[in-house]
Amino acid sequence: MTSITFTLIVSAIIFALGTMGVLLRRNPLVQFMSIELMLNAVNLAFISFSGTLGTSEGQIFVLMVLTVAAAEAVVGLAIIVALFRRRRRIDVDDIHAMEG
Amino acid sequence: MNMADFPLLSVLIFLPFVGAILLVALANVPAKTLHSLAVFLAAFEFGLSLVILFYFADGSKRGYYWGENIEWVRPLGLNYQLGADSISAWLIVLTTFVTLIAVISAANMSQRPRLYWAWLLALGGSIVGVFSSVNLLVFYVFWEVMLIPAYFMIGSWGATPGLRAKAAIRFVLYTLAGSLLMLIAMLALIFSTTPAGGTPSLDFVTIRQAVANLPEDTQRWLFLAFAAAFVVKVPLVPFHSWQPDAYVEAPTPTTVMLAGVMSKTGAYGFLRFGVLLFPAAASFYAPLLCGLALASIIYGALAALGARELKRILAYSSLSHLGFIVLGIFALNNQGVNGAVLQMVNHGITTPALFLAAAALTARTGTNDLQKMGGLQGKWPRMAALFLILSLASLGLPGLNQFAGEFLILGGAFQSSPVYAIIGVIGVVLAAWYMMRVFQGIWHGPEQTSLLDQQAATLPPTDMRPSEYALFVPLVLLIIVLGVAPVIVTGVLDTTITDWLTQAAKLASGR
Amino acid sequence: MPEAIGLVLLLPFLGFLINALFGNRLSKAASAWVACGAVGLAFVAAVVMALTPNWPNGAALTYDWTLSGSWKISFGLLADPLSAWMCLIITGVGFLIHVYSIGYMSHEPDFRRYFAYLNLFVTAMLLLVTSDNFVGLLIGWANVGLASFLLIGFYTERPSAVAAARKAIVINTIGDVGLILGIFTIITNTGSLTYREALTSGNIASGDWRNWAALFLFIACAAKSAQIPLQTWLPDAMEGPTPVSALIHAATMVTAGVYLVVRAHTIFGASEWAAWFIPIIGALTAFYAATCALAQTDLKRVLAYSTISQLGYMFMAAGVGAYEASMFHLLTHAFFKALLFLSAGLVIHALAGEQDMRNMGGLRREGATRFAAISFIIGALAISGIPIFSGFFSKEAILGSFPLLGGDYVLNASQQAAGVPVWFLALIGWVGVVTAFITAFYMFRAYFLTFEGKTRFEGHPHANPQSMTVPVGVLAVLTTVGGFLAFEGGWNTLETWFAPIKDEVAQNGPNVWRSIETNRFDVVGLVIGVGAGVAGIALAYIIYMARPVRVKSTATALATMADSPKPVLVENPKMYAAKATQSRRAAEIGYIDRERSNPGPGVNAFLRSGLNTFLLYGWGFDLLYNLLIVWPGKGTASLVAHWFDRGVEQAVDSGLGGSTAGASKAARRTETGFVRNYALGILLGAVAILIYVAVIGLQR
Repeated sequence: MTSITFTLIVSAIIFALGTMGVLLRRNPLVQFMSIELMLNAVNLAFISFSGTLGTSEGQIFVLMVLTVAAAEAVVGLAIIVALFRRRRRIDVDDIHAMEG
Repeated sequence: MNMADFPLLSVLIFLPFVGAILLVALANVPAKTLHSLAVFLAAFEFGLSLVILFYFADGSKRGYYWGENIEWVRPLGLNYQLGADSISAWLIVLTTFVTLIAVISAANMSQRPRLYWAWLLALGGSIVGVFSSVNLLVFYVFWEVMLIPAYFMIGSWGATPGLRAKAAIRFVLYTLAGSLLMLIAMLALIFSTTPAGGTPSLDFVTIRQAVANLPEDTQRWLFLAFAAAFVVKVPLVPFHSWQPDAYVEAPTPTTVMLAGVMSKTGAYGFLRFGVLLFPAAASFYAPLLCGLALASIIYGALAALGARELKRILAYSSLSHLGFIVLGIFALNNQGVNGAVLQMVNHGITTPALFLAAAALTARTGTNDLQKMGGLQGKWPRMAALFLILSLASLGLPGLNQFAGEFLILGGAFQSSPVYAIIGVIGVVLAAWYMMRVFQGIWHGPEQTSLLDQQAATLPPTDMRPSEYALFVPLVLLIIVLGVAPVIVTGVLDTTITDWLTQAAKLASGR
Repeated sequence: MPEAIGLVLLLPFLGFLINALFGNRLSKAASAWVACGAVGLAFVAAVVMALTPNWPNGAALTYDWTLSGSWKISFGLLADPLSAWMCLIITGVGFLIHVYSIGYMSHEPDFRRYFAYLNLFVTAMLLLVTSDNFVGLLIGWANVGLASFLLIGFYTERPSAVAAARKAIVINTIGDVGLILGIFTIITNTGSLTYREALTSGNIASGDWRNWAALFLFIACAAKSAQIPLQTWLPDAMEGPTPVSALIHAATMVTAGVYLVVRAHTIFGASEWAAWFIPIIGALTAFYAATCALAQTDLKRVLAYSTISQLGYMFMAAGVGAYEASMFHLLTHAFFKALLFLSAGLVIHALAGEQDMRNMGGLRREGATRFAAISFIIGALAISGIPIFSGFFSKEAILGSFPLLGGDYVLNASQQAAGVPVWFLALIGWVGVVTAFITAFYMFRAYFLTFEGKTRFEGHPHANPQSMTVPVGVLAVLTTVGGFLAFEGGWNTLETWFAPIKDEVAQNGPNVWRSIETNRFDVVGLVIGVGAGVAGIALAYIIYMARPVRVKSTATALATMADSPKPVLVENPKMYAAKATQSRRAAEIGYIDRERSNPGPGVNAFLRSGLNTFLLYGWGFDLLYNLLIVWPGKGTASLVAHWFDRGVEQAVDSGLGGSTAGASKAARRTETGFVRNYALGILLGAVAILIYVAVIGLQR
């Protein structure tokens, strides 16, 4: 087992955990953390590919993802705080105003 | 510096938009002053457009003048590219003229007049843009921009609250359905004509050459997609369902714009981006389009014969007349095309005049219904005379303007196939029938003033007012002058059309 | 001075402009002076033009009308013998009728409108005959139709007049489009529309197009000159004021078709079809209209059918190349038919609007209408072809161009080409003779019913002003002496007059011209022609004057009429009673409401009374056209406008719109609003893409 296979497996496991977190948990804060988990799983995959292939694109992408994740966190947390202030109890299944 | 280097076309396009913004922005100025401003702007615009026309007046200029070319979006080949040949020149002048008429006639708008005048000006500006685009995508942009003012004017100022929104939406949906196909075709053109690694070009003159090298099937599909946009805009039967309601619902100045010039953009598109861009496909599909045109001629005339409301009758007659114009274009010869452009100008004068006259009458009678009117000649003889002249012009009385166009169109069609002309003249006979039915129904017969709806009338029951003379006398004079000497138009167009058609024939056969 | 042609055209146009634009500021007298003066001066100009016949080689006053590729259409005026001939008739007879109108229309409030229309008509008619090209002809052609429309519908408050006017303009438009198609055929095959070039083009020598051109042009002729099958508008056109009937629907406009055949005779002469159909249609129409005239009870309608019939004569002649005879008859017809109409107008005016011959009778004995009786009988003698009167000469000239008894008849070029046999021409000629007999009969029937026998009108006829009687007198003189134009011992101007045209054509086309052989009036023809006329008059005398005829019905309404000579025609008694009360009322309001007394071509009316009704309603042509064209047309139009168009609209709305709405309803079920559902969707989508890439994408 080469090192890349190992890191990729770890990355996939983390990604799957994140996915399940998003899908199964109903607390938005936890969902949010799960999303971060998925992003970082991807980052891990990027880094390992970058190291193996000896190119720098993967690392650049990681920086990009981190930036986007930070921006997303700012907006997302703000929404969660706003929701909490308004409702006191936050369960994503209670919120379906976008129903068609 | 050459006169034609001045970016006059841009000025003509954007001046109305600037005016529109001004009208909306100057909130504290009294409406009357603003109307004067709007009229002044429209008149100024008309005067400027005459400069272009006079530039072509000697009839010897070939190809595009007044060109402007600024790079815009390079990967799409989208350059802000304008230019006018003598065909565009006449249509631009027609547009500014009709806009002026429409703005003048919108003086007594009761609701939100400033906004309405602004939309009118904007519509005029965008139509000028359509007629002066040399780049396909620029054409498309203006083509879509036209919809916005028209939509709001029909939807918000329409006659019947329940129906106007429906009419406006139908208008927009129909038109969009057609024009999106055109957009797809344009994209397809970009991809199929751009050489590998090269920059695409949507310049009309260059792309014509490229089109000729495409496989014949591709040309035909592209042509059909373009035609979809135009056939709805004109409109031709059976794509006309939006038209009668839109014309009837729209306030009269808007109808004047729609029937007077916007319908011509479709015909112009057929000519410039149908026949001249895809000459081979156009001649392949000419029988189809001539068939549709003839169907429109007959169908419109029959519907006009059966309809009861004045405005609806005029809408149907417009359908019939535009059938003639498209017939002329797809006759694919000099007489047909020349006649078609001449008829666009003629129809652009006669139809607005008719709609305005109908509005002036309805303002007095309070009704639009033919069966409630009758024998009014004794009451308002001068208005009857006006209606007579306009009706005669519309039915194509030799000696008045529309005859000259119909004559050349039918002559072109006759050379293309005598059958077209023979079916076409049935439309002429029907036109005499329905126009005289309308004219006599209103003015002759026993007087029926008791049926008029005096409550709904907005004007006192008097004969023509001075302001109406000021509006109609120039129109009538134009109708007579262009009937007596249509060479004023055709002489200017002749070289251009001969050139374009010769090139088109070469492109069609040179592969 | 051929340049005077410009003046001929300009003067009536100025008259029109003045009366149309400033009419309301003019007094009636001023308006009349302007109108009559304009036409009178135009007549002087026409005389000047004709008396100095230095025919130009080119046309005067030309300008480019339109320009399109190979089509360069320019306008100009042409002064040649033919146009001068027509100008003289139009302005001459026109002037007399203008003057007559002053008296006839003096009670009209719309006096100025009337004169404006009349001048417009004269202008358009002059343009028609003086144009040097087909488009100018067409413009004149359509505008005389317009003026005719306006004048037929002059009494705008009368529904019947309005309907008649509409009918006239629609049928005339059919003619116009025929002319347009003919013009296209000509320009595509000769490259020009100027007479000088088109009519002498070398392409006329051959080709099927000549037949088509002749056919299309003849549609125009038939519509304008009321030939079968487009004749139905002319009887209805009698709704117009009587002077209008005299000028437009007798003397000038309706002869435009004959003018066109003569003008374009190189094309008509070169066409094999025309050699057949023009004589056939001419003869058929002549006979048809003469029979219809037999049954009419309205004095003006008798004259209207008579006009159709006489026009048929002119076409018969033109169809065999006897163009001089045709133009000659056109001239004499203008005289005697205008005379007849104006005499009828004197009667109608004197009886305050009464037009029904059943309500006349005995008018010769009244002082006020004695003059009318004399002038009417002069006209009737002329149309019957009685020697001395002008109609005799022209009718003989026409009959003389047919081989009535076979003999050494020379077929002209087109007849030879078409293979027209001599017996066929003889047959046509004999139809003409029979028609001449019927003509004399119905004309004297009209005379006897109107002027002789018992008096059947109420009140006193009032006297006619001099402005009306003087023109009638002048026309009576012309009717009497006009025929000597063609007479060898007399002026013999006819043949020399048309010689330039004949010569020009002889050089360029097939020679189809058949000159009047003035010095060879053969005795047999004379006997036959005059015999037919005399026999007709005699029969009319026997039936309407000498031998009393029993009234068919015993109904009370007719009983009051039993002692009158024989004015009572077969009529539904109920109808007659209605008629009698109405005409009394009608006398008060100044016109007859014919709409009700003559219920039009309804099915019931047609079936009511056999042959008489059949003839009265012109062989049922109106009914036929109503059944075939008008009613289906209106029905279709109504269906299209009220049902089909809305139907399509709604189908599109509920079809396209409805299915779009349904689809969106279905689609929005998937939008639950739950974030986790969306996330699952994204996951599934991603998995699907991955599978695709793994399974299919990697196989490539």
